[in-house]
Amino acid sequence: MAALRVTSACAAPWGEALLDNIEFELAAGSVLSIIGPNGAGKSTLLHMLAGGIPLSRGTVTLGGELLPEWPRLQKARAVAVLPQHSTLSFPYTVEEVILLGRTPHRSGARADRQVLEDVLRATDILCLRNRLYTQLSGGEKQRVQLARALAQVWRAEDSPTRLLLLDEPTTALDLAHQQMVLQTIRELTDGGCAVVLVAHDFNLAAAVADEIMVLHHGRQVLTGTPREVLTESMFQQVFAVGALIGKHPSSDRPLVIQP
Amino acid sequence: MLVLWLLLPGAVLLALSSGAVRMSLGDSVGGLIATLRGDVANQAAVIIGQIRLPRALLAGLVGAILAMSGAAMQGLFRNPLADPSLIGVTAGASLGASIAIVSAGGMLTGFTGITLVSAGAFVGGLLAVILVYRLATSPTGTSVATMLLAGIAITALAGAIGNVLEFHANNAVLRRISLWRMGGLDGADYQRVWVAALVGLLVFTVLPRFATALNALLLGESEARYLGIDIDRIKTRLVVVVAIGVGASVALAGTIAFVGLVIPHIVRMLIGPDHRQLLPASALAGAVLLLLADTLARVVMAPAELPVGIVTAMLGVPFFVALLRQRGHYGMQ
Repeated sequence: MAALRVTSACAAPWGEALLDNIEFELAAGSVLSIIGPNGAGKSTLLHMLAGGIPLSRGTVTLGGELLPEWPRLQKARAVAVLPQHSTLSFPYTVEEVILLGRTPHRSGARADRQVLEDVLRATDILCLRNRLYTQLSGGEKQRVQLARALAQVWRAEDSPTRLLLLDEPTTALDLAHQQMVLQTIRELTDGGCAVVLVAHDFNLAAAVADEIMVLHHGRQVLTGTPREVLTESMFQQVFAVGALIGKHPSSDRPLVIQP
Repeated sequence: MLVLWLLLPGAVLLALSSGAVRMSLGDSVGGLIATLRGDVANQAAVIIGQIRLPRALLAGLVGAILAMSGAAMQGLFRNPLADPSLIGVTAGASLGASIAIVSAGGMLTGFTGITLVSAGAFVGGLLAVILVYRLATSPTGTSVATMLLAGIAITALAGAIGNVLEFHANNAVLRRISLWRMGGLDGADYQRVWVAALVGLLVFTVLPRFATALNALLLGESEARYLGIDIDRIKTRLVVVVAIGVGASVALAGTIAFVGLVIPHIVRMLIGPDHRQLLPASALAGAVLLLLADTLARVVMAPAELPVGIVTAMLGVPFFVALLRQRGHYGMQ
């Protein structure tokens, strides 16, 4: 059964349509990557899927039920969001920030500590656990925020449907940690969590996504497997750049080479 | 936290034993016990029971209300420099009190006069907050950023109207207004203590229930919403409770500077920003600071008294500055 089903969804939070007629399905345990030029509506789509921006038309169903009809806490147990930018100017420790991800859960302190240990390890920040968030570097902060979002949907027993929405999770990360994020996404999807990932890095999208959606001016231009979507003509039409498409030597997935 | 619990009775005892009539700590305890027994023949009991105890209770309650409200506002505005007066309540209360003082003219003595000024302050504070809140509310919800700006605007407007009143007031009225503004606990009696206790009960029971929500809110409004927090409901309730708390404090004791701003900040530097500890610890620290400040205000120029607002600023600011210098960038970026 599809974890997430979006039918002819439109969003116009300030009157002007930012998203027009979005339509897709996402199975439990699979990854959808959203790509598109700046201002295409990628982050808006993510917030719409999280229920932060109301639909002006169409429907979003999560686990077979309309998203707005989910009770507040139950939705928070099922859907976690990693926003593109995070502002936190109070001196929380890394552990405290991550445990905020457990806010909607009533699983008890022991389970929460276990999740904390797991996500600290998954994002490679065990050594930062007692540091102050405000004193971390940009990449370290991004990993802490990722760990917080992971903590919210980490355990399969917390919610029958789980959806993780990531807005450019690797922009501030070095190569090793980009790999680590991919690895973590795979672990989560193996456990049945569905993931929607906004990516500027096409090769990241190609490496992890089951399907890629191309957004342009709020419209869904193309949706399909990485091989179907990442073509030279698509780059020419949507991004107005020439790109060479090769093949990844080990995974056989498409490899985008920018000239 | 434990230290604060230990400091509180110490500060109360110090407040009870200091004043125009010198008493040892032992005498004060004796007087306190005699008061509780209802022994009116005991001279110490009269001084303690009728004058110093209500004043100490009022100081503790007002300090705790202001500090806990300040901590909650700093969380709501996600800004460690926020202050309960930001939502316009202090300026509105000041204007309300000024209007009451001016319109009451010569009949401002005794019980009715004081009650009138207090009522004016309370109503003025609430009206200002309602105005600020409505200005910041649109069909899409209440914007905290707009609330901040509206608070600044309403504060400026109330200040301007207050200045017009002062400009036309005669010297006696002018002095009254300006003395009232400096804040003071010299009007303390059991009636005021009861009012403060009731308001305190509301503030101390309601605000800590929002501790988890305030923690999540520090991540950002949409992040808190995605964590399952009902932001709009919490915003409204927080603002209402803080308005009642601060409005009542200003009505009972005038505008007392720096407690709402500095105490939560100091406590945050000492125990961290988690509101589950920050809110109660701020309340305790606020009570201790205002008790000490009021004791100082009564003894430094005895038998005359300094307005307590001057003392809180003079005590709080050097301590705050020292912490800032010592901790460097801790707490802010």
